[in-house]
Amino acid sequence: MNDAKSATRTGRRIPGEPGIWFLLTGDLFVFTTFFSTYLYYRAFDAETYALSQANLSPAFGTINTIVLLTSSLLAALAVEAIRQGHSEKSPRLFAGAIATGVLFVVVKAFEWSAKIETGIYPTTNEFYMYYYMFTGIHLIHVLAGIGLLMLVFRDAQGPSVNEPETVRWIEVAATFWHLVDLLWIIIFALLYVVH
Amino acid sequence: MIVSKQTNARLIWVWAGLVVATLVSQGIGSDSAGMGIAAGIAVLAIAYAKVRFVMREFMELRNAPKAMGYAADAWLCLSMVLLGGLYAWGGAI
Repeated sequence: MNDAKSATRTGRRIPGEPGIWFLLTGDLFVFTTFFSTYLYYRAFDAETYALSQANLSPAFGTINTIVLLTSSLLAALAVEAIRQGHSEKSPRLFAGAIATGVLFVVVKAFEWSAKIETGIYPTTNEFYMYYYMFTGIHLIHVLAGIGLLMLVFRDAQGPSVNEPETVRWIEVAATFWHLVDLLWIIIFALLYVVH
Repeated sequence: MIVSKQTNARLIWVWAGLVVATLVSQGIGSDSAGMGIAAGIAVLAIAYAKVRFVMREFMELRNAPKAMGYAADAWLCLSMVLLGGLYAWGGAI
């Protein structure tokens, strides 16, 4: 009740539910630890890391960054459509967010296949261990996010789409999807660009 | 309706800016085989600036209680300093 009063007074409120922000905070700290560990060990074998990194395809990383940014935009527009009373537009926008999410997975599959075909595995060296680990854990987030977006796509067509509880649940799913985008932005910079 | 159109336009402009920033950082990365420390830090700074836009605009921290915005900014600063520091240290040893 106090939160609701406070939100009305200030016009500010927690997007979605507090629980998603606890999950998100935990995830951010875990990934910050991963990234720090990567940069720490990179310092002791910079040459191997640089040579291995040169075998990555920055084009794949760039395409996937733009794909996820587009997916995030579509999810944000879908939430906004519901909030502004144009819920009929929302399923199409969520379908676009799901399609671009699937496209990310397809591009990632091509990228990994190309690496595996040339004999590059997680056991090849330390850099590739981090490469497969970071992109693999991120891919699990992508698949979970696509699953949430599919549920939201269904609910956005349901009769309760404008009810506050449904809107909050849709915001929660969208917030998780933006987290997936956010993590990829840093992974892209660290693995594909900075050398 | 006007608010909705303004919000949608704002989200689309943010997306366009994020795409341009992605291409700029990729351009810095492809500039030379041996990237200087300053260029590397610049790429990380661009990445964290992008993350801040995603948090504020797409995740709507812009309209969240101010404490959440301050907490997010604190994480952004600490994380950027930590990763930037480790990257610079790695380049120096």
